[in-house]
Amino acid sequence: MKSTVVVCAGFIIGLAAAAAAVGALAPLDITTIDLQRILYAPGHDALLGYDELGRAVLPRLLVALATSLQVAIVVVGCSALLGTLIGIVSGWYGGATDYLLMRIVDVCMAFPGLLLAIVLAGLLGAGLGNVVIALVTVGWLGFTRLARAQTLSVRQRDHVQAARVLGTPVTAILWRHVLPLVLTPLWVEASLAVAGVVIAEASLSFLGLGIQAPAPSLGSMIRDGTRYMLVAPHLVLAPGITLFVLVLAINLLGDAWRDRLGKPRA
Amino acid sequence: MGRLLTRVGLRLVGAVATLAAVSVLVFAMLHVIPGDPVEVMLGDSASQADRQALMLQLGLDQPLTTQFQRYLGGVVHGDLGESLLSRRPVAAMLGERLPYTVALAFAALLVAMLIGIPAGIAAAVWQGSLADRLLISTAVAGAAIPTFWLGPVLVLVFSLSLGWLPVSGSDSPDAIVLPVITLGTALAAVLARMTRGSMLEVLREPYIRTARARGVGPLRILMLHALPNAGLPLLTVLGLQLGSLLGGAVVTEVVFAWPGIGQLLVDSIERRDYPLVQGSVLLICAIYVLVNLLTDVLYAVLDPRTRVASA
Repeated sequence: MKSTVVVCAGFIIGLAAAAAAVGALAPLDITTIDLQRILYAPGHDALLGYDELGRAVLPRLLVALATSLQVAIVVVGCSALLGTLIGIVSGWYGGATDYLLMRIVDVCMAFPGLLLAIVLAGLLGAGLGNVVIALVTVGWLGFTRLARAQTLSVRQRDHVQAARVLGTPVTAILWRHVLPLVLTPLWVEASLAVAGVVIAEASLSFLGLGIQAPAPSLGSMIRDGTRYMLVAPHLVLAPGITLFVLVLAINLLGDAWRDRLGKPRA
Repeated sequence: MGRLLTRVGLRLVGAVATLAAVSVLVFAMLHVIPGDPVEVMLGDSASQADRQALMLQLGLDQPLTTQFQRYLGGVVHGDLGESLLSRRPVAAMLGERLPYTVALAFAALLVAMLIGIPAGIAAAVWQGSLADRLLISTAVAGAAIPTFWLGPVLVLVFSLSLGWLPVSGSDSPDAIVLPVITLGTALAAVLARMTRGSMLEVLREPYIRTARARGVGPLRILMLHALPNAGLPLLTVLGLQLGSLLGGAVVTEVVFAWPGIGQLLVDSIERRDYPLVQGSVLLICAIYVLVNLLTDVLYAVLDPRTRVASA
């Protein structure tokens, strides 16, 4: 049963990625307005119907999906890179460096949930680049703490001590002897962080602080759709269900990966 | 007890230091990031003289260091300044909104506990059963539903179709029901999984087996022997969640136009009302840090093992 779930989740993510690729590669028509079809319900001639301005929903959904996945990958990539680097440096050098870096982490952790990202995105102004900056500012914390904890224990291992005694340069030790051992739990963290970032980006866009119109985002599509919920529920249901299924699939895959590695999340 | 007090004292100092750093960070963010409140307030067509007058009035013509001194001095005295738009004290505005956020947070937490904890215990007791699998699937699915989608869907069903509850706002007492359900069920999903995991761990302990061997009834074992120990890790989770809920469940408040701190923050960001943004963020962080501190202290009081370990 477990494996079927994972296969399904993998299939969904593959499908989403393929759909997103189509949305990103082929310039889909997301701005043409058909005044005859304002709030047009889904049917055989319009797969997901039309929105309040008379734009087809399906191509907009595909582009939104593409944007969402791109943001998630870029944000998690940058967060992981930055967080791992800082975490390893902090754990390796210890002392004042470690103390200072960890106090910075403490201060950032004093902002609950998305608060820091909301404030940053709000002040920087809406837009794709600013959303990425805001989410990385929140995202690096988890990776830093995890990488630091791992480095602290790996530092004491025999092969690392041996390398130090042999006079191996620090960068070589960190790159060849520490990093490979630190990475495993970070991969799991990254896989789960992708789901978090997908929701976070949608939340910011829902609040009007993320991706700006006319570019579509799952969050802003839901926000705009809520105004026409009674006459055209498909405007809320289509992006909402897409988002739900995507996040669920990513979570299931992440959980399965974690179980396979046989380690609880640190 | 002396050790405990020392520990609490140290944590308190740490919390105050963190909050001081937060207030510096918030000030820096607001003043380093571009975006001119004068421009937002007066619009593009304003004359240069009007702008100068407003800048002078708001104290924005002063050097940053002077502004920072004023700000920090105010914060220490509990004076968070005046809103640029309404010209009312920020502290008073926050005070008006806080009860709404507190009511929503506690009600949501209560709902989450009432659903999540019994469900988690049941799933642990009948581990592997159909009910257990059903609960786990529901919890996994529940965690993936974004609140800003669940909210509108609940409105669609209960307000627009059935007409049972108000769509949004806070004018009637039953307006709180839908936001509480939205937040509470999301938390319940997390809590149920945690309770189940924690309970399963405790039920494997030798002292439970001993109690069983001595003929203690199953319900008694569950409630008096297992639950207190399984509940301790849950306390940390509950504390963290309460902390972030009290910080204004920003998205849910916006969905339901609930007049809490979160909604105030989003409005003030949109209007570039700097003192109000500053005040809201500071209050949210202070509550969050404080609730986490209280959770830690409570944990130390309830669990003697942590006291021994730290000694």
